[in-house]
Amino acid sequence: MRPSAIVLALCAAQVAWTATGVPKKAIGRRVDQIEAHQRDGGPFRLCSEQSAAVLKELRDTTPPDAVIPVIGSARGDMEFAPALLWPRLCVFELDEAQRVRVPIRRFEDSDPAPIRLRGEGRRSLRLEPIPPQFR
Amino acid sequence: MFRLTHRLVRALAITLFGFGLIAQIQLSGGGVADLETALRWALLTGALAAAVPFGLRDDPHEIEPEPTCPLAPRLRLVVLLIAACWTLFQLGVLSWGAISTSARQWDGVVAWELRARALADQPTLAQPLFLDEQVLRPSHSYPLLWPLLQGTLTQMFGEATSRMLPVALWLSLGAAVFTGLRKLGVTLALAVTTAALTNPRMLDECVGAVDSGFADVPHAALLTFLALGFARRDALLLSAGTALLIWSKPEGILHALVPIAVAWLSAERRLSIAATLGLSTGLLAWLPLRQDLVGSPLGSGLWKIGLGLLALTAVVALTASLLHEWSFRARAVTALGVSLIGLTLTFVFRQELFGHSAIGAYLEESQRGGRALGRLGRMLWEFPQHALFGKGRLAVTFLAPCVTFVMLTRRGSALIGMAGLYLILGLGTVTMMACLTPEEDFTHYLKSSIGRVLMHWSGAAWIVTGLFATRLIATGSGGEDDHDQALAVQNADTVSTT
Repeated sequence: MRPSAIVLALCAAQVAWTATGVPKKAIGRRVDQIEAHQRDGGPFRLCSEQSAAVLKELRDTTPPDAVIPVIGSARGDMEFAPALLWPRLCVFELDEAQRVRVPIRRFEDSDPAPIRLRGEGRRSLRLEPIPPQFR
Repeated sequence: MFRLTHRLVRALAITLFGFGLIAQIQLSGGGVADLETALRWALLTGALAAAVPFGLRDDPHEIEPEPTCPLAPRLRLVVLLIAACWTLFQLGVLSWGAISTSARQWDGVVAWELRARALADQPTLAQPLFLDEQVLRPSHSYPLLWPLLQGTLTQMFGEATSRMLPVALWLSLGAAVFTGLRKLGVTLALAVTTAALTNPRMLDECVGAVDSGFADVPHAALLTFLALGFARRDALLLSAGTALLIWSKPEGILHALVPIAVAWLSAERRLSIAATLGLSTGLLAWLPLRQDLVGSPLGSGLWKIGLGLLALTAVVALTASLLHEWSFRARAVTALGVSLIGLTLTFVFRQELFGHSAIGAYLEESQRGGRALGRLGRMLWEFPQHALFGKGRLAVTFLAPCVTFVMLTRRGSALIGMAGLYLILGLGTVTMMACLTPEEDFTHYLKSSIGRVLMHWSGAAWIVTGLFATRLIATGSGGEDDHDQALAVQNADTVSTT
């Protein structure tokens, strides 16, 4: 077989292999995800339903310059909080080792929200009131 | 045509380099960057680099080689039509995906786009999202080139337009592949370019796709620029590309060592110095910012690092000259020894060098040597499934260079060339990172990340395929002209093994 034919065959295989995924993976899935993104006002589908609802509630009920106190796990769904709530800032109530409670600081004129966001495990976020003694 | 695309790729690489350098210098010490001015100056530098053939070994006035395409005219037309239509179709899908919404996949949302928005609003690191340890800031130690550039484009043209950046860089990956294959002739080079631009990982709606918001396709474009740098012996491209890798993704620091190793093993003094200077510039611009981001500013330590990098450049330059007389095996053994010493020193000083960063997490994992060795065994078993076949959604990307190399071997021409060595060492870094991943669930890592990480090297793989194919075609009929051409090709792209 001629080398040029082999090169063309390899290139054709690459294109054909990719083309087989176009209807479902390149077009179908993209349409679904763009629709979901536009419907939700952001990539909330990446979180669990419960976490998405909590983040949407926070986004809808706090001013853009709010500071959101957070506590608990910083992994999983909590990772989306800074991006989905931007320009609000998510600020840890505890130090990095999750031991020492630190006061929520003010950033410029923004006030901390009266509630805090708790991360439980990787796929669960919930809102809870800040105990009065910590306000 | 090849010369024009080469100049365009050069201009883009130098523009990115100039922009990254100016913006990062402005940001150091909590400064405010004038991003638009930085981009304008960088564009000017890029245009100059395209106009001046500095750093090119090829004679810039040489006559462009006649296309050596051995295809029938009708077949050539069919190939060109399919390549054009398919590329336009992909461009349409990816542009639509990029413009329609903000980032739609995990790291695109969490790591890259958030920081681009913050920098578009306030082009400084002196804001809570970057420097306040109490603020939740995932992936805070990741490099800043792409967020800076996207932030600048957002300032200038709006957010939707700025999201076309990865699409443009995907096209530049194709331009780099095309330019690297000028000896293959226009038609076959376009066919290979189309194959390089066609990749389920890039086109499908998935993590790492062109329009996903991830930085993987831009990083893949940079790695392809470097493969082009080796294919065309372009020292300027090699130098700029090495620095850009460090500013692009956390693993870029590891990738930036690959071009130095390749140039050094090939006893190419000029390219060794170019790549080492690129590494030094990249580290000097990025390390102060990274240390600010992880909360332990470098301060006067920058001078020590600068002196160390200067010494490294001098040692590489000197040894690359001396080693020219050595055999390839002696150079390889020496390189292995130097790498082991370097790895040991990196491991010993991992906290000082990479504490609180993504690379630091990998280095911490290296303490668990037994687990890494176990993973190596599994990688060797599963690597072909991801690299050669469809499991990693890479189609025949890595099968193509293997097939063409086997054919070359059967014709007694088994020289891998600098670009081939670059690909092999690059895949070595992929294996190393997989073995040292801090991810506890290795199966999950293989399923979710290995295909994306392998995709970084897809452009380089197609350049190597094309270079092997060039040699195959040149040695094909065994005629006198073909034999001369084969020798010329081998001389132009050969690791010195004597």
